[in-house]
Amino acid sequence: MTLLHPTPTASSGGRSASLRRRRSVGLTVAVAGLALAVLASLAFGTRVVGWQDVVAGVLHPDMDVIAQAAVQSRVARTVLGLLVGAALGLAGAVMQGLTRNPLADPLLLGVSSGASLFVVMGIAWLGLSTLTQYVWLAFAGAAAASALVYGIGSLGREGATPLKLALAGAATSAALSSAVSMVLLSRTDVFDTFRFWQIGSIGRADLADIARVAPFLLVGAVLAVGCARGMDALALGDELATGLGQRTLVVRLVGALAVVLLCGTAVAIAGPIGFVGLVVPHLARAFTGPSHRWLLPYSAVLGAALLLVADVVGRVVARPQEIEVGIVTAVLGAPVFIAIIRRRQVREL
Amino acid sequence: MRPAHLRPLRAVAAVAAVGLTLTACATTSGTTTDATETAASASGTFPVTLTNTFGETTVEAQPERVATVNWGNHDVPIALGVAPVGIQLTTYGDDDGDGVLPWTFAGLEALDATGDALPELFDETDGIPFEQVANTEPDVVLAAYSGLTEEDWTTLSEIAPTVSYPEFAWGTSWKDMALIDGEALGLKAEAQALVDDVLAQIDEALAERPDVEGKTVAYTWIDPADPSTIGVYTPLDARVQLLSDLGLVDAPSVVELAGDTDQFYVNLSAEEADTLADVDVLVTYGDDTTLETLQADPLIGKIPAVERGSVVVVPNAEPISAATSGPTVLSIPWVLEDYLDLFQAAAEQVG
Repeated sequence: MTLLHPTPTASSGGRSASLRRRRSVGLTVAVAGLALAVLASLAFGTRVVGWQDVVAGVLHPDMDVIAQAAVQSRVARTVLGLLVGAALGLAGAVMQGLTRNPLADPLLLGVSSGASLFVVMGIAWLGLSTLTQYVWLAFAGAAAASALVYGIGSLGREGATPLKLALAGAATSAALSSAVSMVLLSRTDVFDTFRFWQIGSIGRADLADIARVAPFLLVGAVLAVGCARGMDALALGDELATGLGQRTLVVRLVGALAVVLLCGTAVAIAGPIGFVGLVVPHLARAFTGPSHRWLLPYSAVLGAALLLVADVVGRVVARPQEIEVGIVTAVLGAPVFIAIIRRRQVREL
Repeated sequence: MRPAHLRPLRAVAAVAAVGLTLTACATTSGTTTDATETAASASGTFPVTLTNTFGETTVEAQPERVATVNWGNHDVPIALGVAPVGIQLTTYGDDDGDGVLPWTFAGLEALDATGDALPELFDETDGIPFEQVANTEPDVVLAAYSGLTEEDWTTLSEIAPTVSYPEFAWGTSWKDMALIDGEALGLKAEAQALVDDVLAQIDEALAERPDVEGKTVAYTWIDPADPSTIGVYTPLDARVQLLSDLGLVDAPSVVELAGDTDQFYVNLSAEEADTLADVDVLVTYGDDTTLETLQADPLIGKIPAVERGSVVVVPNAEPISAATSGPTVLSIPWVLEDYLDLFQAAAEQVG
C-alpha cells in the first residue's frame, strides 16, 4: 500500500531529478505490465490452451480447432478490454483532477449509472436496439448525471467541495441504480437484455462494434489530454488558477465533455464497471506526481492493464464458469477504496 | 419471481396457439371435471403436517380458502377441483395479457371461477405482496414449487400455514408439486391419480414418437447478444425433470457440470462448449433464427448437436415455453403433443 502515498505538490519541485527517474522507470513498468496483461488475456481463459494454439489462434486461426477458435474469441475481448480500461482510467484521472476529489470515479459519482439508466430506458420504452443508439443515450445519461451531481454538490456557500461531491455522487448513483431496477421491473419481459447494464462485462466483444465506438473514445482521450495543463492549475485552487491565466470554466467544460465521451462509450459497449477509474490514478500518481500531462497517459495504460487482469481473473477463478469483469473490479477495488479513505485526508488533493 | 422464466430473447416469433388451445381445453376440462367429483367426495384426515426446508407446516382442517404463490402452484388445486382465492399473476408466456396462462384459465373456467369470480392475482414481480395475500384470508398458502426465502415463508406462515419446497428452491418436480400441494388440501390420493393420468398421457404420446426415448439431452440458455456463456439447467430443475419423464436422459456431461450444486442452473464458458459433445439433443429458448445463430458461432457451433441441427428451440416467452419451463399437471397435457413433436424432429437428426 506504499504505492498509494501521494507525492506532495510542494516538494516535487525540489526532487525533480528523482521524480524524473521515477517517471521513466514507472513508465517502463507500466508498459511492461500492460504487455503482460495483453499476453495473459490472450493465453488464459476458461479453456486451457497450449502455447502453439495460442500463437496460431492469434495469427492464423484454424477455426475448426476449438482451442484456436477460443483464442480468436479472446482477441476481440482483449482489444475491448484495452479500450474500456484505458477510457475508465483516463476518465477517473480527469474526474479527480476536475473535482479535486480523490474519491471520484465514474461509477461512484453516478456518471456510469446515469448512462446505464438512459440506455435501459431507451431499450424498455423506445425500443432502441443498436450500439450506436446506446452510445448516444449513454452520452446523454452521463451528461445529465454529471450535471445533476455537480449541481447538488455545489449547493451551499462553500461550493463543490470534494466531500459534498462524493456524497452527492453516492446518493445520485444509488438513486439512479434504483431507477434502473424500477425500469427493469416494469418490463420483466425484456429483463435479460438489460442484465448486462447492471454488471459490466467485456465477454460480448465484437471487432465491428469496437470499430464503431473507437472514434468517440479517441475524441474523449484527446480532449482529456488537452486540458491536462488546465487541471494542473486547478489543483492550486480556482482563485490561483484564474490568476495564472487559466480559464477555469473552459477547462471544467472540456474535461466534463471528455468524461462524458469516455464513460458514455465505455458503458454503452461494456456496461457499468466500477473502481478502475478510482484506483488507477492513485497508482499512477505514485510514479508521476501530480502533473496531469504525465498522470493521464499513465492512467490510460494502467487502466487498460488493470481491466485486462481483472477479466483474466474472472475467467480462470471459477472454471468452467466466467465471472463478469464488473464483479471482479468491485471485489479488487473495494479494499483499495477503503485504504484510500483510511490513509488520506479526503479533503486534500 | 422466477429468474429462469425471465430469460427471454429479444425477438419472439409469433406462434399460432389456436390449435394448441383447442386440444388443450379438451384435455384440461376433462381432467378437472373428474377431479371436481373426487374433491367433493374425498377428504383426507386432518391435521396434516408437512416438513419443508424451513420447518413444519400443519394444516388443522380441510382448507376452504386456498391461496397459492409462485409459479404454477395454483394449477394443482384447480386440477383437483378447488378454485383458489388468490394466485400468482403470470406475465411470462402470457398470450393475451390477462395475467393467467391459457391452461390455468381453462381450468378456472371449468370451475366457474372466471370473470367476477376470478381469483385475486398477486403481482410478484417485486416480491410477494404479503398484504394482498393476507387480504384473501386464506386457510392455506401453497408453494411446493417455489423460490421462497426463509423470510418469505415465515411471513406467509403468519398469514396461514404455508407449504414450501422440500429441499431445493425451484427444484420441485411437477409430480412432487402436485403431491405436496395436494396433500396439504387433504387430497393426496387424488393428486397421485392426477399424476398417474398425466404419465399415462405421456406414454401414449411417446409411443407415436419413437425416436425421442433414450436420447441424451442438455437444456440450455444462451443469450444471443452474449454468446460467451452457456447457461445449463441442472437435473434439479423442474423443466429438466420433465424431460426425464418424457424418456430423455440427462447427458453425462450435464450431470458432471451440475456436480452437487443446489442451483437450478450453472454457467459454462463458451470456450468449453465441446464439453457438451455427448449431447444428442440440445434444448434452448429462441426463435426461427436461433439455430442459425448458434451454428455460426465459432465456439458454440462446435457442439455436435448444434452442428447437425438436433436442437429443440422452444419459442421464448410463448405459452409453450411457459408450459414447459415450469410444468404442472395442467400445463403438461396442454402442451404435450406440440412439445414432443419438437423433440421428435430434433431426435430424427441424431445419426
